[in-house]
Amino acid sequence: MIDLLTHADSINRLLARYGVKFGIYKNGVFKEQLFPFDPIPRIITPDEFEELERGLKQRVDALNLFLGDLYGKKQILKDGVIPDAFIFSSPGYLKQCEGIRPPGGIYSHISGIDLVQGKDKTWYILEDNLRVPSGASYPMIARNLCRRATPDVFRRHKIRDNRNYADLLRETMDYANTGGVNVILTPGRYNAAYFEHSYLAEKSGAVLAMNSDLEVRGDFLYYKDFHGRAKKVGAVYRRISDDYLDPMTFREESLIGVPHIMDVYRKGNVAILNAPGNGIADDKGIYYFVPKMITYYLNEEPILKNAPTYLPFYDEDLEYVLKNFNRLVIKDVAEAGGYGVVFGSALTSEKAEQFKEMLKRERRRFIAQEVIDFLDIDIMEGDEMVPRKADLRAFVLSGKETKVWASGLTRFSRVADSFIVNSSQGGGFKDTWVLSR
Amino acid sequence: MGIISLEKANNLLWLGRYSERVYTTIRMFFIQYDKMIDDEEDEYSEFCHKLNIPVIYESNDDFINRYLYDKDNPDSVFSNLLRAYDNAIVLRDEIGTETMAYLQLCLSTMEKTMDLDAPLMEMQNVLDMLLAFWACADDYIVDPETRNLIKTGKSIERIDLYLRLGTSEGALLSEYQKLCGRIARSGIEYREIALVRFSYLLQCEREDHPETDMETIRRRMISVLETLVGF
Repeated sequence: MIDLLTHADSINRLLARYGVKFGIYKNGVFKEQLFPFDPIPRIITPDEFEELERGLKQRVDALNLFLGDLYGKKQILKDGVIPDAFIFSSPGYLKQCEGIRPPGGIYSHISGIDLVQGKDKTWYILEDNLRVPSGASYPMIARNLCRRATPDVFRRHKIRDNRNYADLLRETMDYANTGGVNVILTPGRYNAAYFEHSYLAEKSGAVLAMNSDLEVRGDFLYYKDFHGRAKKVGAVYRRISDDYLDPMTFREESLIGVPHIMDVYRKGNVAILNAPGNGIADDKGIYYFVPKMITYYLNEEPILKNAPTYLPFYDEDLEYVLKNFNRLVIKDVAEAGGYGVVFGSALTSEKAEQFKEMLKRERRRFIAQEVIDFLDIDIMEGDEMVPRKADLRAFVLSGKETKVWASGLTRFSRVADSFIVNSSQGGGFKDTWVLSR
Repeated sequence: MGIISLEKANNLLWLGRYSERVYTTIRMFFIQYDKMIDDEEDEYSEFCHKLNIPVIYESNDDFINRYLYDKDNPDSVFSNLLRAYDNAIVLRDEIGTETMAYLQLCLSTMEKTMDLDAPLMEMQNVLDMLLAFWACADDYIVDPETRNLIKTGKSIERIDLYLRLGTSEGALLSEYQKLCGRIARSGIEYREIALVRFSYLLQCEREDHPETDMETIRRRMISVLETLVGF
């Protein structure tokens, strides 16, 4: 593996050559940034992956059942497992999706589940991302370059190939497809994850489309070519959020959506991946209930643990959070990308008091979690190897069966002792090696 | 891939045009740069007039710097390269990551030459990257319409620049013949009558109307070329 370290610069140079970037808005100005790659991989043993795989499949299957139930019979609410008010006050719940059963009955086709590993090697789920999780393209392209740089390393170690992600994606889209072409709908090049949209389209053979390329005619969705011909669309892997997807159903001021796409979807004439309305299941507040969902729907004990979480919504939890504020991390349920995260210990006593008052006033807005002292992973800083916090985004694809991609996006903080690993906050990424038996 | 939206057809055509604009103007700039070593200040004015771009430069040095690198100057080589890149970046699924990489390299190389004492020494690398980009597009892009849309844009731009900068009739005729084949294979809607008219102006006008000067004919050819395709 030492061989790999000596090639870090050339791998990063090639990643720049291939335009492996993400976009970021700073003070209203769009900038494209390279995503720094660290050559030391995260290594997951076969036993460890087997457990992760079982746990992730279980979790995503339960989340899919939850979404089907919630937008259908709502039995979980009737049975009092999750309080009604908790659901209907969430911005992720979309009443426009009531009664819609997506093609194949799958709501979350591509799930990005964020995990961290504690110092005792236990994996904890930090977040479920069931709307438009990104990041799979980076390890795919990095692996290709690493293999080119150090073939011996890959010859000596039995590492599962992760370059099949686009095939898994195509398989997932094909399964959901109602008859027609597969399309990846992008809001355009000024989206933070535009590289990924275009790269996945290239590698999966789907058509990369902007909203102006798509049109609803009658009960179907079409992709228009420059000869004026129209091809029926069977599946849309949309990389735009629910709010902007269809101006006739959601935000009418949306200029990046496709008018009436929801009507076609409602009639079962096109699949939308991931299904609109999924935001309710990856709401940071709902995260608290996922272990209960697993037991409720699957009658199984959760294989993977949540980070210990408290909902100030409940009196008992609020009391605990206020008492233990200094050792908890507080998250705003409406924020993402590392924003809206506050470590109690980092606040002055005055600020902490103000925050506590806000917690009492806006009890549904925040969750509190124990700070997991997660395992450091070594990264290269110049010529030196230094430990840094890192998480893992695992990708679970649900089609005919639920599959866990034998890799993932390992993101790390480049700042010592920082727990914020997001690329938008300056973090880098690593390859994730899943060893085969 | 076989399905190209109107938006992407437009991007492909302009990718060809802007990449060609960068290539040919750098080559012409080399000649202009050489002239400016011996000639008077303000030598660049004629170059600007020919290209129909405003003369906003204050000296030879200002021209060298701002015509090549000024991002805020829409006529600079760098701005044109950024526009080529803007068109390419939305076409990754059509032209492929390998092909796109050469345009990315072209941009990085251009950025690197900015701070050099003798930028033109390294500017050859920018041209090399553009040549590699076109070769890669020709070699790797499977769909003939995609390939020919880029090449059509490239030919239209080259003819336009040749007309403005006064390149030989032989070079014009050769590029015109390439354009005829490419535009027919691109699948794009175009005005055939404009091609016929262009051909007449290029090959017959002087014989039929010897009193018409070459400059007038060239201006007419530029006007006809502008009406060839709708975008």
